[in-house]
Amino acid sequence: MSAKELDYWIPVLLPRLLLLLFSGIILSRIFAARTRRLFIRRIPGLSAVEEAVGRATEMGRPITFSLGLGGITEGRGVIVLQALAIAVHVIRIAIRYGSRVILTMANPTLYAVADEAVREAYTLEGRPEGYRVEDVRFLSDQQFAYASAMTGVILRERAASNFMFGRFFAEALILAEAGNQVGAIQVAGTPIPTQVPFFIAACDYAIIGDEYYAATAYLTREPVLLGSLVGQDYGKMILLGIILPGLLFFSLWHGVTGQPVRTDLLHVQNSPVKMGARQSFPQQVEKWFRAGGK
Amino acid sequence: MFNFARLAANPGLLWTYSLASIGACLAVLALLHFLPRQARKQLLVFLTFAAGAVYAVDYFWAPSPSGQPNPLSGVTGVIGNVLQVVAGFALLLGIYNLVHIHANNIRRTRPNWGYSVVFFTAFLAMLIAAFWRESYLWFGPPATQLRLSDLPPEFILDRNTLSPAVRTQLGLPPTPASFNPLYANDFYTYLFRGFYLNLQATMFSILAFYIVSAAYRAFRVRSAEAGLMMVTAIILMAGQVPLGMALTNWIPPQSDWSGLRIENFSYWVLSVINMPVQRAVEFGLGLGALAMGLRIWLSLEQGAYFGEEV
Repeated sequence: MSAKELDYWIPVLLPRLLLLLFSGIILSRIFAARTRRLFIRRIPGLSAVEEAVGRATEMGRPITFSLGLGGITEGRGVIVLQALAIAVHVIRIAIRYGSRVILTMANPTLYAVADEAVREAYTLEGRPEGYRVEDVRFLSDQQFAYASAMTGVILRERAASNFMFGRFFAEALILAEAGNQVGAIQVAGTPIPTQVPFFIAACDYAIIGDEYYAATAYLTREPVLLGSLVGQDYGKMILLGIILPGLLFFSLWHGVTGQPVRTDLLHVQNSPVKMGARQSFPQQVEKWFRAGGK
Repeated sequence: MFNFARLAANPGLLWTYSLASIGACLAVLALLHFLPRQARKQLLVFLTFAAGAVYAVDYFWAPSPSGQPNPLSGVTGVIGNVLQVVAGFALLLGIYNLVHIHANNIRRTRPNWGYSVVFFTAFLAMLIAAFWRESYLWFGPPATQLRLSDLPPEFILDRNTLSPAVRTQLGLPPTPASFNPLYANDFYTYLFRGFYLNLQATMFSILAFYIVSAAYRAFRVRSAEAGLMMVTAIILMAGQVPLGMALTNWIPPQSDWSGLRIENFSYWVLSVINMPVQRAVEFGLGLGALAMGLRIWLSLEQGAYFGEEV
């Protein structure tokens, strides 16, 4: 195979092979977990779900649950499906406690699924008459219209507990502060890294990163879900095994030879080596040191 | 696989495809309704797997070096269009939900029912403004036969927003050079740019105050780590504003010590310390999303509402 063909096939095949590898590992752990009891560490935010529902029951005030922006038909539909799974779990606990949950969303396609899921939850808990149409609300598909409508729901209903799971952007802090204004206990989780700091600052409990996708496994303790978590952990270890040698190679190659590493094979567009426009702080220190402190 | 040009040129074929698609959907729904529970579950598992398999095979079937796409690339495009249509219908469902809830609020004069009146006023105003503005395109004559009397009133459609060709055809003078289409003089623009965009900006601007209140409440220096976080946050914030940059402006920008200028140091913290951590979190999130996607695709998802009997 010529160099030109290699240049084409390596970036095409490598991600596909990695995807197959990780998928195989996750599936193998899922099937293996059916015969074993697996451990999962405590996640404070998820442990607080029952506490939050109980607080709402004691205070006689409703619970609000926001599914955030985004819908099922978009590329990141798994985010909102995970949020809906957590929402249904919270609703089922609330039904047992006799509390009311107001579920809001910003996507009409999601509304169809959420409405059916909530009806199913009431039926499975033996309280089909408890379902109210007003408790599942599509507010708006526009970001700040949704934020203002959700803020209004939280303030007017004086929510005792506020859950926020799903895709959030700038409106995250608006919703969290609205919950703070009414003194609600707040549990929030999002896989969007830019919004996690706002949730940490404004909410009582925040679910960070991986914990978001581990939530259903943690809440239900289903063997399949726990096995999937183990598979993810194995995948992370493999990634670490790839990254560490690569990191050492890049650092040593550039440090010893002074030559940039060829990154176009992996289509690395914004490598700091390639950019090279600005001397970094360590480079300046090194330059100063070599110049004898001058 | 799907030749849209051929379909567009052959209305009979287009109608056949459309009716056959609707018939297939109805057949599947009828099957789901009449099949016994276990068979229904197996049918859903099969349909879910088949739908996901199309995308999986399309991804793994790598394009050739000549750029020739695989045969499934046309199918995924069609499925994407179908999803857009379904989303459009779902919007009607969302509107029904909104109207139902607010109408009940007014009918039963629940607390704060006045806001529901505001909702209907705004909803109807925007609906009428938007649809009336475009009505001549849907219900009027073809563009080449358009007359001035076919257009909606001036306060609904600002004539300056029409294209030069249409204005010439209607015998209107050319649009003034000072005209800015963003500030057209019609009802729709008043509502959208005058009300909606400004309200949106208002909500966004609340964030500035909320950030301050959340930071004041949350940032308590009770430990060494909290102190380090506070110092780093101050440096990063100072590096973004001219006042902060002025503190280290005395360091020459091309000198060996330019890395200590606050904007350079904050950039270094963001790109060298923060970015790898964010990427590490994203790796974990990616694996989590992959795991959940696999579980849903292969119908292995359990718990909550997934594992229940259909």
